[in-house]
Parts: sequence; structure tokens; C-alpha cells
Amino acid sequence: MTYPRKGQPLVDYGREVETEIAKLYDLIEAETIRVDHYPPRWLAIKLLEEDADIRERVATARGGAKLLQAAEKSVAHLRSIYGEDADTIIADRRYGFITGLIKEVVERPAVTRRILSDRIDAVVTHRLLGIPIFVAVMWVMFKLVTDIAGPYMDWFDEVITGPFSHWTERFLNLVNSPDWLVALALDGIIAGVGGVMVFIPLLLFLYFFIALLEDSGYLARAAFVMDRVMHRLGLHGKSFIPMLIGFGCTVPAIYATRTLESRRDRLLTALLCPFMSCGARLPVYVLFAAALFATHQDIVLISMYLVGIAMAILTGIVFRYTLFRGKPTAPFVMELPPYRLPTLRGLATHMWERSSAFIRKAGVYIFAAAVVIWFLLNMPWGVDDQRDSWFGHAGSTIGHVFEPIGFGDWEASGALVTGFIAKEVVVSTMSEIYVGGAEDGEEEEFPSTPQEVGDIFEGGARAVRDSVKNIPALVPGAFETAPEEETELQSALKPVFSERAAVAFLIFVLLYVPCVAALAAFGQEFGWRWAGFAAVFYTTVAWVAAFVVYQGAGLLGLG
Amino acid sequence: MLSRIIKELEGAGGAIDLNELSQRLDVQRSALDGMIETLVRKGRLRQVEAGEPPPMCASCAKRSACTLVSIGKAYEVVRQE
Repeated sequence: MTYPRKGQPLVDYGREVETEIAKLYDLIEAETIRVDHYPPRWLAIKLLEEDADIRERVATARGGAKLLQAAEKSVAHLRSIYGEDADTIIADRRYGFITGLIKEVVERPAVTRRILSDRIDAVVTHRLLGIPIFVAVMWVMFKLVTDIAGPYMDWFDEVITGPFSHWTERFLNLVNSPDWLVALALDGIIAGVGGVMVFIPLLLFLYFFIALLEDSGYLARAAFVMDRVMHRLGLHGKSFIPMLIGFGCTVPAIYATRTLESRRDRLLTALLCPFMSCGARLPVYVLFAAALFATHQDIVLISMYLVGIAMAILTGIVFRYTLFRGKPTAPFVMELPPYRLPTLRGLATHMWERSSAFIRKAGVYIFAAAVVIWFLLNMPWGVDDQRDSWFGHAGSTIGHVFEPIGFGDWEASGALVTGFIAKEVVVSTMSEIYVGGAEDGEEEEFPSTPQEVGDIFEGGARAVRDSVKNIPALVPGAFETAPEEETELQSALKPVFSERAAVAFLIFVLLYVPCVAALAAFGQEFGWRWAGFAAVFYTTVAWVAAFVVYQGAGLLGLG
Repeated sequence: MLSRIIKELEGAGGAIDLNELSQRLDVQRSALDGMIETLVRKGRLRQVEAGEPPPMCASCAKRSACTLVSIGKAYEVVRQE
């Protein structure tokens, strides 16, 4: 670089700008306009930049008005050429000069500049590798969660169906409760709410791993990778936030679309959120995966999530060319948060917040639903066979709709309808029907209370041991694990569902109308007509998808 | 330099990470921050705000630390009408 000789300007602003600078310079010289002690070239540049302070000073100087007039003309002229303000062009040139200068005079060691975080990002946010890595991370997470949580779920199930039921029954008999109340408590509430409570360990571990991904900073990268897909859908970059929340619960996800500015973006994003498989659907997947696909549970789980994402993408594309034709979204640059080592305290807080929300929901909505469904299963009062109950009749009527997709029986159809309250209720209803409604054999002799207390602790210890043993099972063949014990509900489902019917059922649960709370959120944010559209749309999509899966698998001779 | 930032963004086809952008332009991150600030001041970029927080976040004390709601610094290109 040749350093400018004295008097030669340091930065060349380009021919057009330099011409305007020269014009103003000449005017300043000709009229001998003096503003403080600023050099004329500097003054000219500041005027082109429309610097407010300098303009004020020039205005009060002798001959200033004429100079300002000339400067305005120059700015307007430059704007007509470049389409932007002169100060942007000037700043652009200055940055160009600075970058060039730095490159020539600053020596930087080339290798050490790439810090670890950048190197990790180069892989996990890679254009081609990013999405496969995301899928692999999800697979490892589900595999770990199901393997580790499995023994604890079995333990919970043993405790709820064993000692807890026995003690409740004994207590209710002790206070001379009528038979129907005992039946409501055992076959309705404990079977129903308990059937969902069994999944608490699973959700605890799932939330733990999600918190781990979130706190470490990976989740932000995953979102970043997915954003490229979003962009192709014509969605705003910020759409990924609601969709990510959607994996937890659809209700906050729909409210989170408020962070988007245009109504079109908000509505389109909200319409895609329910496809992100929420936590409430997980118990249904796990129940069926454990009952019918015991050896491939992880594959079933991750497939459901991926099908959801695929449906969202497909729907996004379709909507983009039909309902939501519009301008492409603005490009987006963002700062990825630094990688951090998650703290145990932070993880525990996240885990607790989410799990307690689940338990509260089970305690209120699922409890209420279990009670109502128990009555429906026993109306007209004292009906012998549940099939003849109000619930059974309603279920068989609706069942005709589900016949072509593989599950026309009143049990499955009825359970699906109750899932509208909350999707976990599908599990609690099935539990009430298959477990609570099962004919009890002869009065069984309960084990003594001290023995049952002992069993609880022994079962807990066994769960810890089995779950630790399951960790190396992630590496295929590293450890032979004992087959997990089947719960009553799982073994009840086995003869009822064929494999293809089970897959169709899960697809239907994934896609059909979101729960009533989500629809209410939809109505509140976008009006009830859109909520109605959403309800019909999702159920139709779910039916068609389940039909394709069930009949397709039948044609191929599967399941 | 400034115009190259916009050009890179327009051509990126989706979100782009600030670190990646600084590598592509061969500019230090600290220098890039200044340039982006200039572009924001000139109205060519707009800082993306987290927007109105969803109602369930109102009671959450940890909102500022939430990776979902506060997405760090993010900017989008302002489209001239």
C-alpha cells in the first residue's frame, strides 16, 4: 500500500461520491466558508453523511445556507444513482478500506483462530450433515430414555396396580364404602390416572435429556439447521421457536407465534405446530411400542417424531402454494449462543418445571376425564358388559369411521374420542377399559402390608439396577438385558391390534385434532373459524394418512 | 463491505450464523459487529426482537435465560417496498 502523500485523501469513496465531495469542497473554498476549524474535505463528507451536528454548525456559519443546499442536492443525486443514502456508501467504503488495511498490516496465526466452538459448529450446522446429525441425536436420546426409564415404569406400574390399589381397596372397605365407589376408585381413577402416571419416569428422563440439549446450546443449533428447511417453506426464520416449543406442548407453541410479526407467518406457523409431536402423545407411542414392537421401541418413537416433521414440511409446501401465497421471507443472520457445560441445578430445575406441569395436568384433567369416562362405561347404571354401556354404544357407532383404517372396535374408537380432552387420555381410557373393566377373578388374597412395603423397596432397587444395566445396551450386543416385564395394559393390547393397525393408530394419534386446549388457543389467537378449519383439517389428514399406512401395509402383506 | 453483507445474506437461503458470516467475508467478528450496527442504524437490517412473550412465559422468572424465547442477537434484512 502506498501511503497517501500529504494532502491526498486516505479513503477513496468511489468516483461518484468523490465528484460530489469535490463539488462541495470547491464551494467551501470558493466561498471561504469556515466552520470551527474543520478541514473542507472532512466537512464535505460529513455533509454528505447528513451529520445532524455538523449541519447545525454549518447553518449558522457565513455562507452556510448555500452549502447546505448544495449538499442536499448532492445527497439526492447520489441516492438516485445508488438507491441508498450517501452515508451508507461512505461507511461501506470506509469498512472496505479498514478491512484492506488490516489484511495488509495485521498478521494473525491462521490455525489457532478457529476455536473449538467454531469447529463443532462447522460440523453440527453443516449444510448436508446438520440434519442427519440432528436425527441421530434424537435417536440416541429416545433410545437412552426408553432403556433407562423402562425399569422404573415397570416399578411404578407394579406399585400402582399392586400395593397402592390394595391399600385403597382396603381403606374404602374399612370405611364401608358402597361397591360402586370402590369400583370407581379402582377401575376408574386408579386404572385411568395410574395408567398415565406410569409414564412419569419416562417423561422425567426425556425432560432431563431435552434440558441437557437445551442448556448445552445444541438445541439452538438444531433449530438453526431446521431453519434452512423452514426458509424453503417460505416461513419466517423465527418460526422455529414456536415449532420447537411444540415438541413440549402445542398450547404454548401456538401462543408463541405471537413473536412473529405478520399474521400470515403467525397463522401458517401455528397451523404447523400441532404436527410437532407433543409430550402428551408420547405415552401413547410408548404404550404401543412396548406392547407390539418391544424390540424396536426406539425406532417406533423416532419415526413418529419424524413423520410429524415430514407432515409439517409437506403441509407447509402445500399451504405455501395454496392458502398462503406471499412474498418470500427476509434473510436472517443470528448469533448462536456459546456452548456451555450444563449445570446439574439448571437441569434439575428444567426437569422439575416440566414434570410438575405434567403431574398437575394428570391430577386435574385426566382425573376428571377418568371419572366421567368411568360413569359412561357404567351407564345405564349397573350395565353388565361395557360394550353395552353408553360409552360402548357411542364407540361402536364412531367405530364405523375407523374401520377402514384398522381399528373399528368400540374400545379404540372411544379412546380416540376421549383423547380430544388431552392426548394422554387415550392411554387412561384404554387402561380403564382393558385393565379396569377386565373381569376380576376370584377374590385374590392380598399379600400382607409389611410384605408389600418390602416389595415396593425391592422393586425400586431392581429398577435402579436394571436401568443402570441398560445403559451399555445402547451399544448393540454389549450386554444381554432381561426382557422387560409386560404391564397388564400392554398384554391386553397385544391380541387386539395387528402391527399395521397399531402403526395406523399411532399415526392417527399423532396427526388428528389437537387437544381441546390447543384448539382453544387457536381460536383465541386466530378466530374460531380457523380453529374449526384446523380441527377438520387435522382429522382429515390423520384419517387419510392412517388409511394409506393401514391399507398400504395390507397390500404389501405386512403386519 | 456493507453491501457484501446484504449480498451474502440474500444468497444464503436461510438463516446464517454470525461466525460463519465473518468467515465468509474474511472479517473479524468484532469488526462485523460494528458493520452490522451501521446497517441497523441505516435501516437496512433490523434487529429481530423476541416480540411479545407468550402468556405462559409471563410468570417464568428465568425468561431472560430461556434459549427458546430470547434467541440471542438476530437480524433480518429489511425489504424495501
